[in-house]
Amino acid sequence: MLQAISIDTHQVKLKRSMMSEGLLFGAQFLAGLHGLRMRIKRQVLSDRTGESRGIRAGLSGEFADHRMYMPGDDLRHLDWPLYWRQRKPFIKVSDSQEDCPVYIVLDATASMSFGTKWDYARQLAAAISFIAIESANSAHLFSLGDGIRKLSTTFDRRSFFKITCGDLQSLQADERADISIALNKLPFYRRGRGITVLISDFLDCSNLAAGLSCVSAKSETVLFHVVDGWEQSPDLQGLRELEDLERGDRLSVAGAETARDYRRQFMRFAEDLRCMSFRRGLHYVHACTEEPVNRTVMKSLVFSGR
Amino acid sequence: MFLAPAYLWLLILALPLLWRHQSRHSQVFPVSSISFWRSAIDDGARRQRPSGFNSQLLVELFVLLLLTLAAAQFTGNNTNRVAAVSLDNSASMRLTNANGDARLTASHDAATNALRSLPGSQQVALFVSGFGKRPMLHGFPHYVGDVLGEWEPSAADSSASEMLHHSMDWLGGKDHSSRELYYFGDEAMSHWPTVPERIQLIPVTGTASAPNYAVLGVTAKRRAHNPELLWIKAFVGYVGVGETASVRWSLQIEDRVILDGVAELQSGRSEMLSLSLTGHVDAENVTLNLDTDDSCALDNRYTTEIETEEAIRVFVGDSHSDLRKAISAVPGVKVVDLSGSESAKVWFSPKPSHGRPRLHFARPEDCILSPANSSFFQLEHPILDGVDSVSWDLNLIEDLKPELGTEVLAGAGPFSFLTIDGDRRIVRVGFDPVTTGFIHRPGFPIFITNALAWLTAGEITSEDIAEKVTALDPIRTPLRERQSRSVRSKPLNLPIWAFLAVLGLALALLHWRKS
Repeated sequence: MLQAISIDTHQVKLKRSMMSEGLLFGAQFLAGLHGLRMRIKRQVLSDRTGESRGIRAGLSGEFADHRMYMPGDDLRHLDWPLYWRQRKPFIKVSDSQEDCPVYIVLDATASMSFGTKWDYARQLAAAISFIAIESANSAHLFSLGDGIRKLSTTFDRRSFFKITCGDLQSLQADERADISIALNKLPFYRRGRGITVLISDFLDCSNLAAGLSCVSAKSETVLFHVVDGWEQSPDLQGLRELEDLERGDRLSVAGAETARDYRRQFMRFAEDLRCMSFRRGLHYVHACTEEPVNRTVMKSLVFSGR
Repeated sequence: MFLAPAYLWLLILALPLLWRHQSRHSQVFPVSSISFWRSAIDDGARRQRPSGFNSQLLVELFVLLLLTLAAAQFTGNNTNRVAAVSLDNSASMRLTNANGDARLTASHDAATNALRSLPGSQQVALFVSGFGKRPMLHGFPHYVGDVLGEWEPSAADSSASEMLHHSMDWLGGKDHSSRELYYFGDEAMSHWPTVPERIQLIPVTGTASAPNYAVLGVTAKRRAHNPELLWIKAFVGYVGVGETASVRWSLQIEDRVILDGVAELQSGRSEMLSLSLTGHVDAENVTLNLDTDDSCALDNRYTTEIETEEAIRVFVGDSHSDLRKAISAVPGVKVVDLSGSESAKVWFSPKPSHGRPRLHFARPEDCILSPANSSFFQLEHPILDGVDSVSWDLNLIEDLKPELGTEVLAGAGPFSFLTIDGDRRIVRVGFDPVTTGFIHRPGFPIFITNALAWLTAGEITSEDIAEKVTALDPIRTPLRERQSRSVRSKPLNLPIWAFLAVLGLALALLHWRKS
């Protein structure tokens, strides 16, 4: 999905605008993202011209194939030299250059507010959006909660990315809902083929498989499983009463053995999610908050193998 | 009420629990989801050991439970204690003691005083002869005592043992921790010690060269419902090379042999000799001898000859065909079937007319004693000479019920009553000879022969008539130590919560030592 391309020039203006958004999306954050470009292997389908290879035949001038002349075809595309040699009319077909929409779906439920998960997820969303813009694609930002909500659409890197960062900055993870229900509505918001990036902790999903099926339909999908460091390996001593951030339930736990059983359960859940993604052709990226964002993004690049 | 020591102890014990509970709630830690924690607890619940807090909680809850039980024991009413007071107003209570006191009056006063001295919360039932299985009164002791004090008792023609039996049944049906029986009367209620079981190995003369042994185990006990009945169970077994061996046994009281017999034993099998003695027999003086002389045989011993001058007419019911066959098998006895005879009774008399001696087989409920002089005879009576009672099922034998106005001089035994009514002799058999298997015993024809000999004997001598009872033992003190179920087991004086408290303290000490 992502590919590192060395570029010679930096977008100075964009950098300045990013620096003004505070430490969350500061210069240090953006410095690790420079040089990353997004290139989709599959043919995209969009109603907007871009730099990705479209599934439809277009007029980009880059020759792709010949086909027989059909009544109604434009005679300007007729290959006359070939006609004189073969005595048969052939039409020159060229690829279309279309936009690859990147749908960034950010889980904004209350469980994401634990620890540094929310900041990390927003940085991931901003990074993906930044890379999409750098790749001359459009970035569509959604938030998942009680439903699915479209936050912003960024077409122009110079003007709209600042708006995206502002939306992410003001977004709060305080909704209490099942994201698998909201994911079912995602296909109604997408137009054409593109890339869907789902950033979530995938906790308390009643039917995650059905939600992922809706996400992965006609789209290349990347799952960022955001996990806090304590959440992954809790250090629990003595008796604690735990409160569910999303549901408000409380549970008394005690002892290191329970924490060990919890780690085993959590790792099993992550492994199940990875296997489920693999079976459905999705790219699973384990995003731990103790790891820098750019390294996680690079890991997704390595994972995709492109 | 809440300032009682028990509640203060409960409060003191509850304070650390409340403190821990509050401190636990103050340490709320928010997490993303508790679903994994919950599943982790569920998965590890089996192998998860209780934490220190849980152990402390369990121990303190256990102590709280014990204290609650103790408080309930201290403050609650003793409704689980029940007592039966039996006032004997049988016919023998009409007599006066040696000191001139009327027995019934003395018993009445003693029962009233005893009732008023009982704890006020105890449930008491008053049993008086003549009221059947139900108690005369039931309630708290002071109420029953007041009613009993105003009541003027009169002697009834009923049995004291039957009343005691009903009292026992009433106490036995109660699910209470403490059951007591108070008896006021002149019935001998001595508690005979149970003879410990003795096992002996006695050499038996056998045909083979290898030594043979007969195993004798003797157990003598008294039934709770009929303490006058000394029940002796002897298990005689033969262990040896030969297939069979004959063993002569005899039962003697002190130096007098009252019953004997021969048991044909098979190798590897044991036979039970079930014997019973009625009356005030000291069990320590009872001896069961086992003679190893195998020269005696059953056939030799029970050969009898019947001397009758005329045929005996037997009236047999239709349902007693087995009895009829057994009687007809007796030499010299001729069975004549008559129509209209009762099916439940068999009258066995040389001449079926009133005023003639007769032998009466009847069911216990139909065998009623007449008011005439009756005497109970033991097994050593000539009418039972040579009759064995081996392998009888004594449970099937019920006591005879005396008729109204009959003065019972001794309790009914398992065998029979002998009644002399004027110049008429009557032999009553108070059990079903068919059901008990008596007709199949070798002693049955002997019994018939002996009965006929006694019935057709000459004039009635003074030895045949029981002595008139003029002076009995003075009234005894009420028996309090008698329990309803078992006379062997001694009730526990300590309540159950005391043992639980000791157990709880031991657990608490163990827990604190570990911690």
